[in-house]
Amino acid sequence: MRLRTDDDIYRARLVYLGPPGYTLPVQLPYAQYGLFVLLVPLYMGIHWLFSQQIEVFPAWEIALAIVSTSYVFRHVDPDRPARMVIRTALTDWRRTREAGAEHHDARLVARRVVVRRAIT
Amino acid sequence: MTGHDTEYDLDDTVSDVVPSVDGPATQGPVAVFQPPRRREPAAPEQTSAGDGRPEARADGARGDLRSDLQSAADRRAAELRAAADRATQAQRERLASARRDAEPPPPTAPLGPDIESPFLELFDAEAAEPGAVTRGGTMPRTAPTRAAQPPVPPPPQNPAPNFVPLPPDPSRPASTPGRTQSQPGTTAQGHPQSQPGAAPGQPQGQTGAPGRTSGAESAGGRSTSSGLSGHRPGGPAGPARPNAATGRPAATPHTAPVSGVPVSGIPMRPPPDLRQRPVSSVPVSSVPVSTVPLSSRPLAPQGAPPQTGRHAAPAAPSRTGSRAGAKPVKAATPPKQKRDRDAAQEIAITEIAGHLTFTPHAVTAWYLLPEVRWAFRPDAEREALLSAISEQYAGLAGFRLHLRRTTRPFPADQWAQQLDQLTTRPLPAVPGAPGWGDHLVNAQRHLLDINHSEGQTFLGVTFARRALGDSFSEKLLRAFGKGTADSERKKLGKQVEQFDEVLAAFGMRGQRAAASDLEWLLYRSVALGMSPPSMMGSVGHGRWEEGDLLALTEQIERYRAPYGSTVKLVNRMTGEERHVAVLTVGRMEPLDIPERHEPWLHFHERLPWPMELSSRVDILGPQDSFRNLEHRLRMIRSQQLDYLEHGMDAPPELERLASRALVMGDEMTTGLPVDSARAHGWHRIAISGATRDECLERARSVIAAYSRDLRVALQHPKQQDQLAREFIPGEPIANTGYLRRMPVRLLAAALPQAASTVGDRRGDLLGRTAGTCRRPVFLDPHFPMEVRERSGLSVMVAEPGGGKSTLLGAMGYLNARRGVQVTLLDPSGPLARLASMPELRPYSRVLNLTGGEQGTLAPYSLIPTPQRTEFPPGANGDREYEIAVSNARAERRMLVQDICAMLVPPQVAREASTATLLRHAVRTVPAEETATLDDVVRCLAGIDDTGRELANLLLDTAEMPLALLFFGTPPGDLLSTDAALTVITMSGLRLPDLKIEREYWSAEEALALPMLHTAHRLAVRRCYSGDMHQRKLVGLDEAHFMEGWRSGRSFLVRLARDSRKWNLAALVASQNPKDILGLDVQNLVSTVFVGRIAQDPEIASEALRLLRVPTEVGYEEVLASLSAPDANSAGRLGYREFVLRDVDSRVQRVRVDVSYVPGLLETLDTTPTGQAEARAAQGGAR
Repeated sequence: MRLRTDDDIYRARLVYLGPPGYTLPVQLPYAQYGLFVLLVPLYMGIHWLFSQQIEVFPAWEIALAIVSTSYVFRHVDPDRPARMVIRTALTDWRRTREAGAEHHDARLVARRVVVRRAIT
Repeated sequence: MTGHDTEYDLDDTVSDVVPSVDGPATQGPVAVFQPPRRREPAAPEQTSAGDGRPEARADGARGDLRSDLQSAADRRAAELRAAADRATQAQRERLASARRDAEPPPPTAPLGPDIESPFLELFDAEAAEPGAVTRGGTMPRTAPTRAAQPPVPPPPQNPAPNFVPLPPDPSRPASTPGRTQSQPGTTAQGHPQSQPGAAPGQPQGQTGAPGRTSGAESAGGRSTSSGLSGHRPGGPAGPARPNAATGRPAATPHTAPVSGVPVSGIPMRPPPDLRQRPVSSVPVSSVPVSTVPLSSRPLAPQGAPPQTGRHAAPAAPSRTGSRAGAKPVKAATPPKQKRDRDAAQEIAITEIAGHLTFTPHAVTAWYLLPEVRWAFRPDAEREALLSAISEQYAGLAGFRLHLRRTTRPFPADQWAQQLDQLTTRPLPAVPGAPGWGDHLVNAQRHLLDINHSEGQTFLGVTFARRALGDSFSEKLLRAFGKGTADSERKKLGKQVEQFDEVLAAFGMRGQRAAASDLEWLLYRSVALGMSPPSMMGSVGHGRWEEGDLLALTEQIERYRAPYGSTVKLVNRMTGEERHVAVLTVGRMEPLDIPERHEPWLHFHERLPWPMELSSRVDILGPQDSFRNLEHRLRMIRSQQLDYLEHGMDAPPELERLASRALVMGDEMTTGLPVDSARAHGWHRIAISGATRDECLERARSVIAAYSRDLRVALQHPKQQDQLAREFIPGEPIANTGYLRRMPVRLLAAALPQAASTVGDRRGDLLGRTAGTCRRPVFLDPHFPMEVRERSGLSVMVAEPGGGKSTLLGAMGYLNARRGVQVTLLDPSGPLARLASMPELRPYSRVLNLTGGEQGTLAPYSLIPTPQRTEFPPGANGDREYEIAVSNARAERRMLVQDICAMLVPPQVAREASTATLLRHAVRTVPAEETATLDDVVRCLAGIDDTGRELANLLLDTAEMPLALLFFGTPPGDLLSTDAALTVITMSGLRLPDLKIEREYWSAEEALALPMLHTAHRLAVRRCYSGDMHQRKLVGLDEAHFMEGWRSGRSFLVRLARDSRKWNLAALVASQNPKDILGLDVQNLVSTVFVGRIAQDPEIASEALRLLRVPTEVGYEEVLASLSAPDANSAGRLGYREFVLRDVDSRVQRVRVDVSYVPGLLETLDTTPTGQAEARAAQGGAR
């Protein structure tokens, strides 16, 4: 019995070619544009926190967003969606030093669990 | 045929003795062979409220509000917490003192709160004055060096946390044997708290850790055995106990929980700092610093401490004394409890009710999936199984499943107890040799050492969202110590019945998991990969209460490094440290599951360490999966359209994927629900190791094995902490990466519950399975007769050198030990050496037929006349008896005729007249036991000339000394029945090659044939006397000489038929399965061993027929690969492998390993060097 996953269908690369009538020179996945669109206002907000002013053309922010988007998408593949990459980066990020500086996580405790032998 | 059957274990390089992951090696209990001591059921509950611990008191105050369950759990938790507090404090203390000692001038002020432990002295194993440490009393927060100071007043505060049943003198190290031995006693006294987790005992154990000196090592071992083998009747203390001698920590299960030496044998907890040791307390010489390598202390950052100063006797006291004198002892201050109050987070599950678990949002029903057989089954059966399972999965569409596999250490103690009970008359002990108790203890240690664990597969179906009101009312009720509302549970109880129906059917055959099983699962999930709580055996005896196991989760601390590849888990109770790496199933190539590949979540079991599995799966019904697929198809189409609009060539993959999606969509809409249901989920494998490196190394080998054999890419993602948490039922999914979408058939083919068990679980330990997973193999040759009501005929088939004799000898030895009357026929003679083993020597007898007296093999007397008493009374019995008597006569005639035909030259025997004459003579001579071959000769001589000639030919053979064995009457006391082990040998006899025609055999070889025939009869003859119900075992080697003779078949048939009546187990070894098949007795055979058959594929397929395994699908290669030597190693192969079919028709590849019996392998070793060594050893012993 030959058994295979359906994963390849979900592995199709879906890219944004450009608006109708104009083909962009580079074809990037849709998700990449989405992340970029989210990052630019984020960086603008951070910039605003420091400088309290908004630039008309946020050149630096766009540049940073491009860099960070491409950095994130270097780790993205069909098995690792961007959401997971970002989440891993955020949750697992403490220090990059190796042991000796281990983070002591909360113990997971099952002490309060009520146990009954039967349902009712 | 799947690849796995031909594959050899991956662990050829890995030693069998794996430092256990599961830790039963140390933690597993070893059965005590003593009359069962009743534990006192209820020792007065010791109050924990008086211990001065705020939270304990708070618990006590709240206790009256709670239900019994809750308060019991709390109480237990408080005790455990207190014990662990002490343990942690002591650990920190040691750490701190090490750190402090590294700095030359120790500051008077403590370096940090780390060293402020009121329990400091409690853990200082070598406190000078026992009196300085009162029972449970706290010592002031002083530097540990002050331990040497005797007159420290016990502080008034914190009086006696008396839930710690400390022995009267906790400051004494365990090196005093009395103290070690007091351990079982303590538990036996029945402190209910102290039993299960060995929790309170633990700190003492840590004090005891340094006591595990080389001298105390044996004391520890002894104490175990003194606890264990009281059974040994006056056997002298310690010889032939190699395990005890080596002092493996794994070998001392009872002391293990208290020893502080963790499971894997690698001491993880550093021993108490020897620097604090006052010289006077214990002689320095008794402290082997070297037993615990310093490098294994993870916690002590050893600067360059002047180690020598520690041990230099004069230096130490002066220093400590002066320092202590300089600083006055501070009055004891209450311990800083906060230091040890680490962050704790409750897991999501709030309640276990029967087989349901409740989280605030959902309810999950848990089912236990029993193991299914996979190896050596016909593919059709396997496919039927997978189809049934996939239908069951499809029936669960719409629910989220949690498939979880964990392990349980093999209950070696229960097995041993059972074996002990079944053994009514074990062989009496011989002074100087290990007795029955030692034998059992050795077997258990072996079992624990090689770390067999049994898998347990759970399937959780999350089937109900909880209403807001329900979870609110639960919260409310919890304040009163009650869990979920009755009404909710009643409602759920009805809902859940639908799953019982779906899952209980053929396929998964899921059974509702008991609450205790779920507790076990929760504990194992929190303490992922860690050793199970000690004395697990007591769980079965009901000495644990609800919630006890869960309370132990509180002691598991979790550590992680940022972006780390592993999570570190530390058990505060035992100091055990495990590193866990969680792998996730990545890209999978197509698999041919029953034909080529083995189940993809069973595959990991071929690796020698246990792993844990967790799969979170959403089952999508036809509609959902079709919608999902359609959405995807539209996206692909739109992308294609985009390319078209932009005038670009679409990548060809898009078209391919679209057409595949179309086909799948078609299948979904038109096919059965099984074809359309999809399983979207995440599959994780947790691998653990004692160190980070070991863990990663194991992870690497798992990844390599999966990618090589299954083409499944296992990934090792970050977020390990979250991933490890995902194993706990009820916890959220760690991340959304590595989502696998598959048809339910592929999920069914994961089959984590596949297993390979074989043999009964009540016999002797014979080895382990060596196929797709490793389980211990026990075999009781009397099990088929006594339980299954089948014949006791077992057949062994292997090429020369395949290990037949060794197996025969091993089984003979093991059964003789159990008091079974064993007769072994071994023509070549190496098994005779068994009789020289010290424990068997007084009870065994060797009968060498080549030096036997005349008439020993007289054929008439070899077939016993039935006794009337063997048959039931009454007319029917009379009739049966008469039939049996005449059958015996007929058999005698047949045997005598065959023997005569064998004795005369083959050319003569082939003539028709010879047969007629012989038949006539045999008919004439009365076929009674008293008749002899001489009567036949006389009768022949009286017929005519041809008859006389034939008689002369027979007399000619009688000139050879060996042939005299057939003539004359047998000596009376040939085979006395009192010997437990009788070995019949024919040393010096030259066995003919059956492939050569009989005409070309030498006279000596020709004589071997009738001798073997009659010797077989002789070996069995012995069993037909004495008590019918006594267990008997006959082992017959070289049975292939039986082939081609009528009497041979009748012999085997009679053996099989009589085996139940006489409780006679027969092991028949042969080189060629054709003998058995040709004799057409395979239906009477209950157990089959097939060893290595590499040379002749025909013989191999015959052997497969004997095993009832499909032929010509590749299993022949499995037989050829058995006991395959490793070409890279120069050493001899230390084991032999067989394919075993047991009485329940389970077929499995097994590895026979009786190395736990001291001296047995050396005795059975037939190689020239092995013999020389054995002889030298024997000579030395003498």
